[in-house]
Amino acid sequence: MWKTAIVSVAFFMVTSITLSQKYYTKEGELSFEASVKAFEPVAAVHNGATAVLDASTGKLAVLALVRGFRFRNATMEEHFNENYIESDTYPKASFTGIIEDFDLESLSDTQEVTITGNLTIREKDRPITTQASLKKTDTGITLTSSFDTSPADFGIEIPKIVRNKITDVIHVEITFLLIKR
Amino acid sequence: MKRKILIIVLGIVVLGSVGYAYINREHRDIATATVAHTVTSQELAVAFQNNEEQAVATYLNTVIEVSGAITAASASVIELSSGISAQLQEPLTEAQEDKTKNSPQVTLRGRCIGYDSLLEEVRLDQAFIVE
Repeated sequence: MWKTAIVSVAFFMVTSITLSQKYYTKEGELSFEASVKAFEPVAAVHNGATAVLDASTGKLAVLALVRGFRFRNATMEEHFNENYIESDTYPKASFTGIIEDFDLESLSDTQEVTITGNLTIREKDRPITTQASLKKTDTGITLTSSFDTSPADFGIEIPKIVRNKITDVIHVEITFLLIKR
Repeated sequence: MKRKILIIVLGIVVLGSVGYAYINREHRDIATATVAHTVTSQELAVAFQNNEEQAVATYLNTVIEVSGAITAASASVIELSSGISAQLQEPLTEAQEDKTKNSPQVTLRGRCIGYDSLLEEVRLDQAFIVE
């Protein structure tokens, strides 16, 4: 009886591993833009975001180590980390969600999809829904998307002195070249 | 009176210059910065796996030198055994990439940016190979 149980469990594990297709990147590009006209640009780029897509379910998980956001201005980067995000306490920003109605088979050239999930920054979760573009490539899937978010949603207080130099709504752009694992 | 005005103007110029210099200072250059920690890839990985909060307090945003066996290398990322992934400041040339792939062991210097819990690796950026 035990033998049957062990064999069944082993069989189940093997099939579930082979059925789940993972695509991932650790060089995902995230950039955000919060510049106010006539003031100095407020923008940063992250070239090392991790994204994992389970193609069998459409589940998407993204993680960006906040220290990886690079600003042109070193002082601005320091303020971002020390005063706004407090990255020593909250070193990660993440997203968990799903690409709705994702079907790997039907993905031919470019396809528009909807992604829903939760964005977590400074350990605060906020639901988010956005459109994305998926494209099949030789090595995997390219995902491009953008969304807007607000620092206030995550408990980020912008001091009065600089409030008019940073937009209330931050625009984020995403490009992930997901490679088949 | 003239002397007073001169001192005030000089004071403003000095403060202005200091402020300007502060706002426009250079990013830290990892190549010339003091190395805060020298570790093996295993030590670093274990530190984050055992107590992430403590490891973050110790290593986050510090310049570290980590040595270990190369498990993967591309032009832009070098990975070391036990789960270290370092993003290079400058991409490797094809020749450098080949040389790196054939090296058993390497020492990298870079900045620790934290622990990637999705792929379970410690991440470095602004990294380069220490000759």
